[in-house]
Amino acid sequence: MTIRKIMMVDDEPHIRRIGELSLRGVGKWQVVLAGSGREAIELAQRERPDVILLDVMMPGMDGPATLAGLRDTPETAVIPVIFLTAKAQRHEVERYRMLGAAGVLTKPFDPMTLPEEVRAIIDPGEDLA
Amino acid sequence: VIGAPLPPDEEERLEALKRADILDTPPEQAFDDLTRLAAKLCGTPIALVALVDRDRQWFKSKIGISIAQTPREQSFCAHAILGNDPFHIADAAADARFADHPWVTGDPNIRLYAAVPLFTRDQHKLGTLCVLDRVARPLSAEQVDTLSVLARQVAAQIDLRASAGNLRRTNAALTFAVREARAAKEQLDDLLDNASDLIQSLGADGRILYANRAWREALGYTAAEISKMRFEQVIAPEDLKRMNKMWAALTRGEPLGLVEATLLRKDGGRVIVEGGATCRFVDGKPMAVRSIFRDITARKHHEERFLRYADVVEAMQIGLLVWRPELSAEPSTFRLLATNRAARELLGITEHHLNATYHQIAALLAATPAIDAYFQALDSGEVVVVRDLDHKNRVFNASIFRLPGPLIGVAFDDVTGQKAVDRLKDEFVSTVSHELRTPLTSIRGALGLLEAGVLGALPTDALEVVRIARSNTDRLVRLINDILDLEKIEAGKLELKTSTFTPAGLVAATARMLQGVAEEARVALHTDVADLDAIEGDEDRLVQVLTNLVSNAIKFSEPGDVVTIRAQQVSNARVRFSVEDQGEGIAEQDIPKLFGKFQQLDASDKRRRGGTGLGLSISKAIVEDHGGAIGVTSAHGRGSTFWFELPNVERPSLPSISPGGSSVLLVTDDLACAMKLGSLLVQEGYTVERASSLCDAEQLIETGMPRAAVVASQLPDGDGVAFLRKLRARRGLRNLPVIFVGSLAPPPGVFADRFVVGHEGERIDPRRFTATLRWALRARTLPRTLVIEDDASARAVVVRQLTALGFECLQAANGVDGIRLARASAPDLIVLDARLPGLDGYGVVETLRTEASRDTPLLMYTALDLSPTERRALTLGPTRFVTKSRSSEGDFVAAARELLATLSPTWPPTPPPPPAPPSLKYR
Repeated sequence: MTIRKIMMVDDEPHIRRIGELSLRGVGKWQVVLAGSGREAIELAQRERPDVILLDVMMPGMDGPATLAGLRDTPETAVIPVIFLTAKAQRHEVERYRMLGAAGVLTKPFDPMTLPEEVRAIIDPGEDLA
Repeated sequence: VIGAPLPPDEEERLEALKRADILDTPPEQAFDDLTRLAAKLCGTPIALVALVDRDRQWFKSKIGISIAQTPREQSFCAHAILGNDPFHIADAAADARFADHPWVTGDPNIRLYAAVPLFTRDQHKLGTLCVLDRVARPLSAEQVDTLSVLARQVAAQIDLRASAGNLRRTNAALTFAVREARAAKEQLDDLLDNASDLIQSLGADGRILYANRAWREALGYTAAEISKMRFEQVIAPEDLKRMNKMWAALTRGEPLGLVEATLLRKDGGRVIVEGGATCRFVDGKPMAVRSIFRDITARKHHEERFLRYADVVEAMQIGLLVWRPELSAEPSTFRLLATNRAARELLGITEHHLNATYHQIAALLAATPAIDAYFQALDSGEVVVVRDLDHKNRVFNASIFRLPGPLIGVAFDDVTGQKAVDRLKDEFVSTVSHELRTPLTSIRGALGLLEAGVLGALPTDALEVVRIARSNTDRLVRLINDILDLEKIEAGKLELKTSTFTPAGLVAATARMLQGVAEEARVALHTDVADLDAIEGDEDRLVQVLTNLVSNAIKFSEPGDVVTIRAQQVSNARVRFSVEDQGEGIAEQDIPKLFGKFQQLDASDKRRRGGTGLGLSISKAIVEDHGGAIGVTSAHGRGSTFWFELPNVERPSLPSISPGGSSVLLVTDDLACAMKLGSLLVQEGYTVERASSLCDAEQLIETGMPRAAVVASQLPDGDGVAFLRKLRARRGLRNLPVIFVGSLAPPPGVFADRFVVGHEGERIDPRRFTATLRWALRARTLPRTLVIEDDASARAVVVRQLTALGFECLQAANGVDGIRLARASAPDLIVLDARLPGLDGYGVVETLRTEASRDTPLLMYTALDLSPTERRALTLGPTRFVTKSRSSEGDFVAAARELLATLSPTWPPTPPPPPAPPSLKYR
């Protein structure tokens, strides 16, 4: 699958901005930003991103709840979601995977390699080729 | 032929005949001589000594005919024995009773028949002495008289014979009894002389009648010496008065409790003993005083020595309990010998509890019964640490250790507060890790973008400081990660994700990862790896260790140096990984500091090397969590070799169950029977677990899972039926086939239990016995388990364990196949991995909940720590959770056994489940 549009969800504006620069500047993708889970679900229905990068710890609706919301909405149910977390304990990573995440990336991330890591999760074959 | 009626004493008569032990014996001269004489004197061609048995007449002696016996209904003699007088028929052809007798109408054409009954000593007529002729004629009165005389001789001969036989048998029995008695005495002597207790028997006058070897050795006398001694001579003078009092009480018939006495050795030394004594009375007169003592000198010594430190112990802040084992008690237990103030305060006990048994104290404290097991474990001589021992909302850490002598010490500390602090610390660490990483994410990201020039090229100086800022941010991130790692490891919370991999793979993965770093430092990276068997462990964590060692080696190398990574087998059981560098080496005195926290040997190095100083302590913790060891050999100026060793994959076999043969529990205290049946069973390919008492047998069924039990009807501590009741009270053993053995038949009621398949008496028929057992095992349906697990090696391990428990095992590699198989086979237990490709564990459970399997016992075997909500979502019937890698093989087996025990009492279910599909493995 080729990624054209990516949505990043994070309650921290600075991280959103850095992520935007990385995904647009290095990944050369169209970037949609959301500051909360609720906003993400709303925006995703309209924007139909190819992949969603979702923060785990957010006030109010957290990452797993947002994921569940996305899955419950027909328009967004099949969009792959990658968690981006600062709490990289191993059993938590396992749990996120079980919730249905396509992958888990950890903070802090390197803006120069983040797009590559996203691509490797979404299409592992491309990495090998 | 008219058959003769039976004589009125027929049954007694037949008994007497049997007692005479003469039927079917070879001819004897004494009888033949008398018969010959009868024929001669009566002038007849035929003479017989005929004995009338229940259905026949049998000839002990015969002249003139060759057949050995005739049916009773054709017997002349059966008529003759009805009266007491001679029975005399001159012409049988003219007698209605015999006219159509085949011996009359045909060969040998009998006409004359004259018989005299044979009266034995006990006045039964066993048969006759008779003469027969082909010519019809009467015998003369003189001939009849002579025949009577001869008949008395024959009868006397029969009696004589019987007496001789009795005598012979009596003799044999006596010889046997004497031999047995001698063997029994030898056995008893052997027992007494090999007993470790001091056993003695004293005459009523105080003379020593007997003392066993332990007694003689403890007191230093020979057997010859003691025969002339009196008991007073071996009592310590200070104890004499007390002992005399006891003696008087004992010979008055008063019972004594536990006696403690101080005995005097021949060399004047003292031996402290403890035990009991009883007096034997004959016609109300005391005859002998028997006693069994145990030498407790060493124990007393230790107890006294311990009590001397009582003041110090009393003042300690750590709680201390001292237990004295009481192995003679049934069951053996511990008694509280001493406590200190801290212990009394922490546990809420008082001085009154001294001498209470361990079980009483445990009950009082409502303590975890697991302590029992810890006491058992002490036999290995280790110090056992019990973490988080719960008692009334307090948490204790206890260590259990041996004190000198047989005493057991338990030291414990209230860690309730510490635990609360630990919890707070955990939360704090988790929060901090998030709170620190969030701002760092922005900083690191911003610097990364600047440095890469994504936002436009920077002037050289600016680029340099940005690079410094970025590399220090990276270091800060690493430091946070390392601190969190170490924190987790030290709290014992490191989660090892175990898999199987080859040492070569581990080395290759590490080398690949560090190739770039090595090139940058212009260091050559070599690998030297033997072809080794797979090892088991957390591959990511071990790569972390090896990476740490290799990157250290690179850091401390000069350009042009070589770093070599090796993996080799160092013993059967261990693989060694080593990393060798050509750096400056480490001074010997610095080596012990290396693996401590924040240890970099030269502070000035830090800037150059840029490490966190935690790598080696993390590595050490990881390796030790794998049951391995880590170390270094180095000499200053000659390079260093860091190494770690890991145990090879261990596959401990399950206790008492061999996967091949079925395990049979053999419960009997009869050694001969046990040997016979044991060797028979082993030959047949069974594994045998033997118990010689009910108590032993109960322990065996705790630890093993027998497929059948062979139980003696009588056991020293109860009968076989009692054991059967115990078996049936355990749900998993309700359908264990049981065969009773032993002379005493079990009450017929037990056969109502359809899994009691037989009783073998004293003489065991090996063929019938093994056939019964085979039948019983075949007839029994195996519990059926379904294993749903995607990882093939994990699945193989689980299947091996379940098969060893005697379960039938179906396997599925994913959730969809698992559900299909569950529908088709109605398993008794489902083992499910939570994480599966496609439909995961949650999905499988959700589906099965709506189907026939909704009540099936479930064993969730998962790598994850599940929250209560997640656990609820993963519950089917009775459900147990076992965390992979965190728990031992034993935990898994215990959970499986426990779940098996929840099967319905009428298990196996009726109707039986449909046959499994031919291919059990879906792919």
